[in-house]
Amino acid sequence: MILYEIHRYRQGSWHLDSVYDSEELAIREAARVEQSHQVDAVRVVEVYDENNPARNRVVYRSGEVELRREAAPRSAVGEIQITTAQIAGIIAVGVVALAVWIYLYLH
Amino acid sequence: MGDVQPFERRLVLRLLNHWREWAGERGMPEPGDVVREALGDCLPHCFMLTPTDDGVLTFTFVGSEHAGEIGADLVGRPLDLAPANSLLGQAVRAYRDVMARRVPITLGGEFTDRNGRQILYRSILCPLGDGTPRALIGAANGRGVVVPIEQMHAAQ
Repeated sequence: MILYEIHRYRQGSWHLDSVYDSEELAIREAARVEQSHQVDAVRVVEVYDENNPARNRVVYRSGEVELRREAAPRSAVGEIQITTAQIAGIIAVGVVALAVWIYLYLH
Repeated sequence: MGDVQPFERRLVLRLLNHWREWAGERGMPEPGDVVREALGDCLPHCFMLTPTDDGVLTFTFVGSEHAGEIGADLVGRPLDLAPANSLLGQAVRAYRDVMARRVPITLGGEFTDRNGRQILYRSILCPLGDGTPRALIGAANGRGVVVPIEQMHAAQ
């Protein structure tokens, strides 16, 4: 049976809040918990097999903790963009240098 | 967001809301925190179990909907006397998991009642205790499933 667990993030760690066999009901309640209780974040985890947590996946998330986590890939994308620009600049300088060298060689 | 919550009509989420209010900042409320009067029109669908001196979980309250369905008064009787072909019997199935995990568990499904009707139900079971669960409060409701006439003929 697939179960859906609501976890709430408080004081630096995730705590199990409640368990459902309905994704819709779990997400609905998670949104309510987020609005009405003192929590930093709430998530709903789909649990296929309690003995194999690798198969679990987050189907709903909210709050600052998850947003901070999501920020990491975005900054990595930014670094890749800078590196690409640098490579393009190096190639452009190389092309110009080669053209100058060919001009000087021929003359 | 403000504190005003939209009215939740689902029985299981309404009981869960009461349970959270009774718990406050604690992990779970104690049996003495339960205010039956606050349950309003949920009350006929609710039930409560507390352990006897020898640790047997026993019904201390059974809502009128369940009592009517079963046709017997289970107050003072152990949990395992709830018939499997009743809403109450289905609702208490998860009690070991609730005791072990220490959190409310909501389950639904289908079963055949004592009149042979297919019943689609949803239930919730919530722990009560001083950090360690020792009692339970729960609720369940359901409705009959309409079987298509073709399916009825096929079954005959």
